[in-house]
Amino acid sequence: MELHEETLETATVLSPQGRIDSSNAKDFEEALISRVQDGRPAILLDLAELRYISSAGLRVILLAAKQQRGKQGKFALCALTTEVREVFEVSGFGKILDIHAGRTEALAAL
Amino acid sequence: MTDRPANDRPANDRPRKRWRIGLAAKLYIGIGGAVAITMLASVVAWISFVELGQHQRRITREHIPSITESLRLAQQSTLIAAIVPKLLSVDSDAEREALMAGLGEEQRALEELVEQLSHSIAGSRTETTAGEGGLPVIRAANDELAGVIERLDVAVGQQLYLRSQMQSRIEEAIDSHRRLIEQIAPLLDDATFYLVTGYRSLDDAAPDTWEQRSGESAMLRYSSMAALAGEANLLVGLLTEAASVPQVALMQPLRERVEASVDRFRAALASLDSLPEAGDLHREYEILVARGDGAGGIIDLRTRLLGWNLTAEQLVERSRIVAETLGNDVDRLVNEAQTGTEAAVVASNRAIDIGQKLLLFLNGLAVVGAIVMGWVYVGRIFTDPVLRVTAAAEAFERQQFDPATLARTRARSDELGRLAQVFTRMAEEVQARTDTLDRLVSERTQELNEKNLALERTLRQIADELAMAQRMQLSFLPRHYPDVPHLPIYARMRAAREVGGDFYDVIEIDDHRVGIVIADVSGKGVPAALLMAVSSTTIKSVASRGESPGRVLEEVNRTLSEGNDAAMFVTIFYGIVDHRNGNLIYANGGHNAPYLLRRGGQAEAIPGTDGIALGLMDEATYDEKTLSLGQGDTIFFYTDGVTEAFNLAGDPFTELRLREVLYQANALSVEALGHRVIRDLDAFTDGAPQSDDITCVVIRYDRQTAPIVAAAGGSNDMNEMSIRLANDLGELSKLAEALESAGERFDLAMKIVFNLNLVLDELVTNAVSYGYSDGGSHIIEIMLRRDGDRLTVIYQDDADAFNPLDIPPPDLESDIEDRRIGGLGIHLVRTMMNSVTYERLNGRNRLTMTQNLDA
Repeated sequence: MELHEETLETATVLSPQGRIDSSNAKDFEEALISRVQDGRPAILLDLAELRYISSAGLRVILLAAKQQRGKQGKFALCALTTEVREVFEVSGFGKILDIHAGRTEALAAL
Repeated sequence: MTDRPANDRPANDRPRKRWRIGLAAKLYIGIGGAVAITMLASVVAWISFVELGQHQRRITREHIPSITESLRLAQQSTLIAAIVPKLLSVDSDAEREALMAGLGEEQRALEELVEQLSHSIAGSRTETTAGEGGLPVIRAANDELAGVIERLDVAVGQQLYLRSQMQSRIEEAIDSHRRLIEQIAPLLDDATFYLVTGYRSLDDAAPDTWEQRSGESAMLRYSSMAALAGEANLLVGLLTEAASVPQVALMQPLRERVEASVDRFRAALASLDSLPEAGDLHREYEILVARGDGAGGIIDLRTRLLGWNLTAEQLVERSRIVAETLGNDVDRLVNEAQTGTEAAVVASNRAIDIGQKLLLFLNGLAVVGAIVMGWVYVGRIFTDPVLRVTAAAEAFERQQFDPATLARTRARSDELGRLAQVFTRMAEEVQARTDTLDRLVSERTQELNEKNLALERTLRQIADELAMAQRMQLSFLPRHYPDVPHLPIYARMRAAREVGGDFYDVIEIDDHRVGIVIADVSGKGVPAALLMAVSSTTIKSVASRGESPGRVLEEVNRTLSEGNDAAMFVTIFYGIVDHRNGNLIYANGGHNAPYLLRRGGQAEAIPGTDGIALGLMDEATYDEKTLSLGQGDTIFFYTDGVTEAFNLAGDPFTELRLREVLYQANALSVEALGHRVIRDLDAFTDGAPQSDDITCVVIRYDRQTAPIVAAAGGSNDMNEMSIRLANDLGELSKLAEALESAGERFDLAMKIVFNLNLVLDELVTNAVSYGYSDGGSHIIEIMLRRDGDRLTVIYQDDADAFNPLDIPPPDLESDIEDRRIGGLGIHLVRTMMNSVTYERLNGRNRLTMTQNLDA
């Protein structure tokens, strides 16, 4: 799984490509958590290129969100596909995380 | 109706010679009349208002001010009457003067009000005479009040004076009494001592005997002394009482008692005239008496004060009465003024009433006049003729116009008459022309109807033949692919119109060679379909003979070029695969090169052979090339309908996108790959109409004996599919592919495939990560089956006993800080599938899940 990174003025945008399941969740976790621990003030996960995510991936996102919150940082997601969005909703993540429709909207909110 | 010369009209239609009053003039006359009546009504209203105004003015300028002033007068006198009694409770001259000054101001104010009121009454023209009688009475009362207040001032002054005098007197009396007692007391003590002890003083050596003491002189001395003291005390007490006697009548008895006491004292003192202190005592006592009973003494002062108190109270009462009288007089005055006001109001009401009635009458008259005017005047002069001409026009529209209906209108002497005349002439002319036209039109319509019927018959015939042709064409395409070892094949053609121009074929040449054809006929519709029919049958028969691709194309080309005057052509790619070794030999006649997908690699176009399209040059030659397919290599044949499919914005799909899809789908089965390409294409075009036939053929060289997924036509039961995975997380991508393929096979929506992936992912991950305590390698089996609208998924492993349904659902409502990380996967399993049941069977965990597909 590739993780594209862009550092913008207001936030760091990470775009995972393809699939996240338990076989590559560890790599994803290392990459994401290291960004959190860097102390980035705002992190945005752009999921436009993410076709599939399992509970292993969801756990990583939850972990990152908690840690970022603990550091008083901001954390948001955007551009989820319909199926991925539904997974988030069913898991109850929809209510807890900041999820936006598009990247511009998300950046404006961060 | 035939034409008539304009002059030939009936006699009664000719306009009479008389003075012409135009429409405009008639209009002005009508308006003038309406205006006149309105003005009359306004004048009447104006007169009423003038009179009304007069009455109102009288009320506001005369009656109301006098009422107002009278009330203020009453108020003022009440105010004064309230202040006056305060004089009785002043404590000093300063207070009295201040109060009198205030009273003086209020009295002056009252004077002013009286003057103002007299002016108002003098200025008004009331019809009553009471105004003249009322005012002098008020003035008199006012004067009396002033007098009373003056006398009260004096009385209060006297009271204050007498009170202070009396205060001094009392103090003096008490002082005198004290001095008296100071003198008497020691003498009394001596007398008492001697009477009791017989000693005259403490130094006395021997007491007198009782016989000596009891003589009259000792007793007398003692009792006289006692009497002096007693009478002095009594006197001062009586004087104190006199200082607060409430009534004059009570003063006389008190005085008598005082005088009696004084006599007794003097008598007692007289019997003691041998006493050396007698003279002093006498002097002091007489001072006391003078202060009490003398002229200017306490009794005198108190008597006089009581007199003044009475006077003051009487004056206060008098002032109250006078003020009350004043109030009553003012009331009377107010009533009179009110009566005057009421009379004025009644008069103005009468004026209003008369005015109203008059206006009502005139308005009624105006309304009646308007109705009559409208009906008779406007109707006759304006609306009737207009309506008549309009009716005539409508009748004309229906072709029922009768000139006689406008006869009277034509006779008018104004513009409407003119209109009627012109209209009639026009109508008659038009009528004549229309009749002619109608006749011609109905003749032509008849002819047209007959022609239409004939055309429709022909059209139906053509449609029937076209439908038949489509059925025939579809039957030419292969329905079953031959079951070629090591070479799974998938093919799909979707025509743009009812009959298409693309075709493909799979030809079993001999026991080790298979020929693959893909072709695109130029043009669309019936001509293309005919050429396609000829081309496909030709190439099939030529290729079956087993010659090499170049020779085959040359022969087919000769056949097609022979009778082809219309310069229609067909592009053909023909390749022969030897499935023993994967060798491909091919020739290309102007067709877009297929893509070679090496296993796990990018899509590369197969090198061309520079052959031209078939049907153009009858002696064209075709070169051949070879290439070698390895294990898992795929070839994707297609027509330009794929790359040139347009979306709504007008962009084509392009080779680039196709290559991208092929690369991504590289690992999928041939069916999955083909479906994937077409699905992506449809997603791209997104509703735009299909402009060309879309055709693709996918082949793969696959020597492996245990395929993950059964190829098309290879499994016994089309409704069932099984997947076997090793217990390794790397197998998850295999699972994903297999499910994509299942999605094609069972025609499942993308969402269902996604959810299946999620659920099975969880179960596999769970088993692989936690289920095998022995650390060995194991197999996990998954079976999918579709029965109508129900999909059944069975998951089975031989891991340690574990029922995921035992795990409690996660707490979805809590905030991010509280969420436990874990248990989520099992929740997804439960939520995404309609039903989940678990059993432990023969040392295996088995989960049976179902999903309804009709939603």
